[in-house]
Amino acid sequence: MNGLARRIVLEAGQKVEIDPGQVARIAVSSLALRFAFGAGISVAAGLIGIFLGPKVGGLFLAFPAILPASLTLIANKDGLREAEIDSLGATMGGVALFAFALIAAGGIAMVGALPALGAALGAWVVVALALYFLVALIIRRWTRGPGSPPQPLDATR
Amino acid sequence: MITQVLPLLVVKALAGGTMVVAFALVAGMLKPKFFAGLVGAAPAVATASLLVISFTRGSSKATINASGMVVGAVGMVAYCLCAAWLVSRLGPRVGSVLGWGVWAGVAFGLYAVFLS
Repeated sequence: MNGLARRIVLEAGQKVEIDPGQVARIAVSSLALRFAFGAGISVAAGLIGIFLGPKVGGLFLAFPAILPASLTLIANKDGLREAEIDSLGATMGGVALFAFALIAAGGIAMVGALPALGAALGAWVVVALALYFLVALIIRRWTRGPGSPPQPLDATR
Repeated sequence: MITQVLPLLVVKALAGGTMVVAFALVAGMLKPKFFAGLVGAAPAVATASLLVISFTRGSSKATINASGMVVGAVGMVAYCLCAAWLVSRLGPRVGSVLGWGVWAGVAFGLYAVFLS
């Protein structure tokens, strides 16, 4: 098992935590960078929609504009391995993004923008969480094997 | 023409940037990193833009945008998978930016097959 796989096995075995205190440790400069990327891709998608049509503009609503900034910030702060892990976590978020887009595409004309986008956001949360916990469960089962007692996972192995 | 669309673009930029920061704050609270990574593909820009489009240009335009987004999201999944590999070999800046080529190939390929 390589280092990345070992790290993912370790993280899949960890309890999910929400720590609001961590927000104070986020650098304002990194938030400013993310704001700039978010604003930039919003304008770019809008301009592409105007000049090339709304369908092509829509493609760019799922353009990974923020991830390069996030991955670079994570790699500089916590190391390359953490950036890789973040990217693999984002893959499951990407599948959930597909569900968001499907519900938005089907729902906006039917029930209006606010309810449809609320439902689409809800679907994103549900699909992302379900995928994460399913993948984490599979990894834990696979690494422990059937019938064997849970083994403590050591990050340094 | 640009003077007509400029206010709309400014609103989209402010809304998109704000949503991205909101999701970044959420991601910052979460542990472990594998879990927090989910938020990296959250629909921050999409939610803001689709809301603005719906209110300013109507539901039909927003629906067309969202249908384009469906194939863009498949590109996003491909991007995330490749970015992990590219970042570890080429570094975060080069690797994550080169991944855009993967996104473009998948998104525009699917667009050509299903939407054009």
